[in-house]
Amino acid sequence: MTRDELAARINRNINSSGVFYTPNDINDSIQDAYDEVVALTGVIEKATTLSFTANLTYYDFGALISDFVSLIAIWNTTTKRWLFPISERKLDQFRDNWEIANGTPEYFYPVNFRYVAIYKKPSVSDYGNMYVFYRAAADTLTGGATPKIPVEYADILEHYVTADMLEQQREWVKATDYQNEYVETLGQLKTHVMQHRIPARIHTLVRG
Amino acid sequence: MIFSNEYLQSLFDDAEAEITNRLNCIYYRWAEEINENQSIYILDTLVRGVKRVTWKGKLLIPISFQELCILNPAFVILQEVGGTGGSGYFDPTYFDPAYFDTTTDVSGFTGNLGAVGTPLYYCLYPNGYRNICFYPTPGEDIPLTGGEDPYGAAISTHCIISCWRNTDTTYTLPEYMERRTKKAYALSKAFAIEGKGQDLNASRYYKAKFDYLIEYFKSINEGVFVAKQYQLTGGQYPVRSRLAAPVLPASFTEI
Repeated sequence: MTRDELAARINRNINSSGVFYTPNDINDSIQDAYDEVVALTGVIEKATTLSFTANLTYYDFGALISDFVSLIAIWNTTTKRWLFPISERKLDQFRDNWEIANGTPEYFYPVNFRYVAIYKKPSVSDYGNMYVFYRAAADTLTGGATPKIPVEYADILEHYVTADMLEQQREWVKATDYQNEYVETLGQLKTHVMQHRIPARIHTLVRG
Repeated sequence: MIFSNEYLQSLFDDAEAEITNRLNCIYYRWAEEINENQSIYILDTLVRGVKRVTWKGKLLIPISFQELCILNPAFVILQEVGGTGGSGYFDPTYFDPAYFDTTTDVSGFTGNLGAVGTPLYYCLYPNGYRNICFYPTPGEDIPLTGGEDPYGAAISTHCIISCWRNTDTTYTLPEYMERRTKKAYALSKAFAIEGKGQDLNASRYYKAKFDYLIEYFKSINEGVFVAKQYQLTGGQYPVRSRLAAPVLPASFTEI
């Protein structure tokens, strides 16, 4: 479903033909919905190549990658190995001065939504590159663009925008109904994203 | 206009404070300028909570003030400079070991109060909300020349303090959640005030929206560390029971 098709459905929901809401109102709200759904569910996954920086421990992925939301994995192209995720506590158990340890990058520790520490840090400037797999923010939609959301969950944007339009008219009861549908579908989509990738395998979530 | 732009802007500012109050998400590090024989340093008001302190790369152990007093009972006495016998002005930031030498009797104590050397511990000093105290007292100057990189090269040469901080024009909430979350908070407050424009249904609606957005962002911010260990199985969930072991029949001992 393209953005314009979605806008037409929403106009039917709220019985508006450009009278109460301009096309720009609807399109802006669709973009808002798309931004929020993509960020909260992590439905768009991308990869990029970054260089290891000599003597740098903390990488600001929020600045290095323009649409970075959260990290999935890092691949060291020099050693041909994945970096393992680890916690700060475990790094402190390795050594209490792990931040200045030089060597082959083997572990990464996500500090918050943008900073990631890499242990160990290379001491040479041309060590190599890393492939960063991450969840990305939403792109900007145009009229004929299709949101990158699974088709079975395509109505999630419709729910959000309809609720948004109704709340602007202070129709709280009606807006709440659509909002509740949106939140419920959001949870389902998030579960779908977490489980869909390799259904034949068992995922074990371990927090260190 | 029911709500002025200035009022709404103040609500947006409140929203930022509320979001950073609910979850620590803005990470910040800096190299602190160290002065020889100065043990107490005042942190900036932007600091919400100290996360980690390192001295030339080595982790300093956080302790409570009570534990600091056990390590060195002399720290019970708040530092003073100038005068003798307790007179003089109070300056909590400067520790002068010469003031407490063997020839000067201060409040009944004699001898040097504190060890001077490479800090091993730090604590939040009780004479100020954002005062941090190193123990032992640093015995060297580490000046700042400007351009220190607290995320890389400066870690091995400086004292680096990591913290959770408040937002400002440079350190902001992530773009994908900032605007809508602040809007929900501001509207929930605006519709709740007494007078023209009050709508408690609207206030409750936007408060619910704000709460769920915060919870989702919390799951993004705090759930960044997910150690997935993939394993190949037959596609069935493992049965969680004890390991397989031979079991003798119940009637084994019966004749």
